[in-house]
Amino acid sequence: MSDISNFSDEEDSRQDDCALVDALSEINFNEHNIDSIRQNKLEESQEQKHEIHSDPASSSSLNFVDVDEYDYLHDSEWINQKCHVFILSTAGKPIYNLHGDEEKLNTLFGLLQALVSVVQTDDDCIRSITAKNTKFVFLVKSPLILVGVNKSNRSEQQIYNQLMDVYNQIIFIVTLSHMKSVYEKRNNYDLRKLVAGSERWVDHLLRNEKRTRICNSSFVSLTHSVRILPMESSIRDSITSTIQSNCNKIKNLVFAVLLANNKLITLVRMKNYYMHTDDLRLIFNVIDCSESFKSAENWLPICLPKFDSNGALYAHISYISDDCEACLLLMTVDQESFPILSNAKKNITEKLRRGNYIEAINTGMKDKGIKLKSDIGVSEIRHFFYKNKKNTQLLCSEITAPYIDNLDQFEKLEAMYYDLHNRIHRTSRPLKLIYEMHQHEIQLAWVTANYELYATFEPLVDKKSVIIAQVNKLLKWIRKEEDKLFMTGTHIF
Amino acid sequence: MSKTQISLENFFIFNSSFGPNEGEEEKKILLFHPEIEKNEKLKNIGYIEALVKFTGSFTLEPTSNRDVMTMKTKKFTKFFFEPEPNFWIVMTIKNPKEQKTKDNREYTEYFTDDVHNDVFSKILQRCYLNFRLFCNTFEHNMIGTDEESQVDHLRMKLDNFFMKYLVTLNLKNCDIFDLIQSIQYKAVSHLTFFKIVNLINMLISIKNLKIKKCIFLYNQEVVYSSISPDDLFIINEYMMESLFPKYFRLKSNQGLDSDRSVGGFVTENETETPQNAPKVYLYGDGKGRFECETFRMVLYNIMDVSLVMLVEDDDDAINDEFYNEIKYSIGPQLGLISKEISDNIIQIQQNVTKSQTEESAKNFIYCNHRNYRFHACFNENNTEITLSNREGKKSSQLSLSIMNLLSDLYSKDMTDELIDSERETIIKTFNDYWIVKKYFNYRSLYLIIHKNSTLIDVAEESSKLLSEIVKNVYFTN
Repeated sequence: MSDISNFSDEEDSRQDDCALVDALSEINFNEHNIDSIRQNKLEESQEQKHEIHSDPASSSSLNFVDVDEYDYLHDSEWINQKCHVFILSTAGKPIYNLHGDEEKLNTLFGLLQALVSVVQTDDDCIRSITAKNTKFVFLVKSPLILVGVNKSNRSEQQIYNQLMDVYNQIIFIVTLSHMKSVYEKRNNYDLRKLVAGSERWVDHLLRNEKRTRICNSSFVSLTHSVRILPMESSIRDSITSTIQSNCNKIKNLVFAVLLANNKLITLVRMKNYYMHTDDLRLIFNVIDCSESFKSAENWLPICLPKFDSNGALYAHISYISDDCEACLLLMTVDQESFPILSNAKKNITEKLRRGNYIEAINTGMKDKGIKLKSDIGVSEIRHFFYKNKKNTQLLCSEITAPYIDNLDQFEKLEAMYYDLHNRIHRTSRPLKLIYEMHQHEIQLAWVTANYELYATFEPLVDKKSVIIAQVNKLLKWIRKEEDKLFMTGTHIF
Repeated sequence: MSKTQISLENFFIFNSSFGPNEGEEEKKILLFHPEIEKNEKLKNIGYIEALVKFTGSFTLEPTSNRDVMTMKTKKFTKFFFEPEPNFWIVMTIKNPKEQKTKDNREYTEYFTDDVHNDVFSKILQRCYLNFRLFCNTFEHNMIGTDEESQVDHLRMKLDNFFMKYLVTLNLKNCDIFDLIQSIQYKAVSHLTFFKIVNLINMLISIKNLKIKKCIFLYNQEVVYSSISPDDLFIINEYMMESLFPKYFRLKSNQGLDSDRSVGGFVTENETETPQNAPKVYLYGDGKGRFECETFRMVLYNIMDVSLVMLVEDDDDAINDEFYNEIKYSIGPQLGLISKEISDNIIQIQQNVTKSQTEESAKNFIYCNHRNYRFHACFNENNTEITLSNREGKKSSQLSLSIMNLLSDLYSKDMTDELIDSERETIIKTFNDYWIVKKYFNYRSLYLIIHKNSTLIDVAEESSKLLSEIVKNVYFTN
């Protein structure tokens, strides 16, 4: 980030971040337009300063607020949740509780903080606890502690990765440097003030843990990849060059991302700067859960943790048009370039409409996944997902019977895939291949240098030669259709 | 510096109800190994108390006395469980580590994942079961007039037992064999088997001898047992890990191992008299029945046969009459049976060698989940692994990651419902080992093949080997 110098002056940027993050929460809640955000920004930043210098006692007094702490710990529904996520500061201050009010769990948070700090005094670090069918996983990243409690068959590593995603989503909101400086100034700071309004991004990230949905989205987070909106490569290229031609004159523009339906259409970047898939997934999450973005142009400060956890980018976020639910993000380091980006977006929309690309995008959005029987002609494969390792893109087949209309069946399938993924990637004993015959299905997981394939077969194909033949047919088809299914090549401004 | 091995950091037992008040915390400590400063001990105990409280907030079910909990940190893995109400046993294991250098900076890499949760959970449970076998439950050892003297008595018993037992724990060699909790059975011909059963029934019927139950072993493998598999396993382990090695060492030191036809009582010390035969406490399989049966355990060995006799717990039961009866009347009969079995085996081996002319090297484990029967072969020369000889063998044979993969597969079998249907898993490791697991009719077979091959070839090869192994295990042993 050396040449993106806006953030070199730490003092300034800190104040900016403060203000902007608060502004950001306002956007989410109140759907302010750009002008009012700017107005708010000034006021907020003054408030923020006041906040930081206010009497510490006012905040610490929170500890003594009389709350009914034993509500949750005696509530069988709460106890039986299959997944819990808690976030607290290293000083033990509650920040987040997936199911309910964190304020009512002061005792539990105190215990968590103690469990972490006692181990730390011996220059050690707590990783996990396993008690019967429940796993407790800790992610200690000062000044935050994240704890995942899980009763499903998720592995320790998978729960850890999930906590890492949650952590990154918080950095996305506040930036690491800002968070650290806040805690350096005041050890018992209440971070909820900074993330207020954005907790729902974390909620959304964990929505599958609250209630399983029958869709491929959990395989996207499992494999740490993104899905691509399928379209002819010539059309994708034209869309990309439309963005390029309208943006390559704009200074300080770092990334342009066009996405629809949680799938990527195209990505253009500044030379020598790369968008990490983990960052892209955070963007997808935020877009997916913010209905308000649809109604207006938005200007959001964001931090992409893998790109630069200490600096913020400014994102112009808007949907292409009323008849096309594709979302365009233009990310810059220049705080003042909203009008330029707004203008660029108008031009892009116009050109896309003129070239009939809007229709192409809308067609692509109807796609529900590869149809195994009609698209490829493999009848024994029930479901698969395929990760292209080179560009971390995921291809999934449509979910069909017996999983599509049966939540229990789908949850079992999901659990089996998580198990396969864990075993094949276990750091101390990684595997290349797993073939497994269960009572109701056969599964195959296969990791090569270029791809990972996870597939589920009809239970009665007990001949391995049939399975291998079907897999080969599938792989051959994917290779043939690669240009359409994946986004190949890189595009720079 | 090379990678360190798994080793014991500490082992302790406490009961929180013994020191509930501030300033009395020290009373909670029942055993702590190795000896460290008091406050450090209390810190360790306090931490486990906090963990138990914390994890308990997330479950409505009470903890069962069989559930072992695990806590992993970067440097250590702790295993802890509550075998009796309020009594907690804790074992802390050092994770393997290796000193490495990157960009001219030294750092330590810890291999947390090398310590297999299920394997060491079993080891911890066994520590307790061994104590209970020889000393009865913790609660039963609270003997004295007031609570203080009761706890002191328990402390003394724990100290006496575990200071000896912990030395025998060979943590770096723990693996799937410890997880399977297996017993090696020896199948003999029907005729021989009936002779053995008759002999044992006869022994039990002699009122004066007061023998209640027996285990018959050939070459340290179980042929016949009249006690529950759980009790058998723990007695068997004691014999294999402790009693037999000591006995044979003693015999060879005395120059007595040449004449194997001379029988004798197997004891832990040099005296041959079984008068001070150890007391054992059997609890059955723990399902339903929870009454304890107390016996004196006497072991007699002649040639390749060993007979474990569980005698009524009576000070007079093991007297001169008992000694003479076993040594001069039963002993020679056992000798005859031993010869009969060994003759039979020579005959079978000749047949087997004929049928196994061109077999490739095979590594496999076969186990029957219903009767703990188990059979393993882990060697290029097809020599069998037994529980008593495995130590020297495996370290050179298969890597820790392969052993842990086997444990993973075995644990999965145990967590999946044991059903009647067939299951099959084939995995290929990063260094091109194939492991095939076949599960059928409550039996599992694990096969390890090391060669560059395809899934189809491996599947075919495993089916072929399976039918051979099953044939051998069932019909030729």
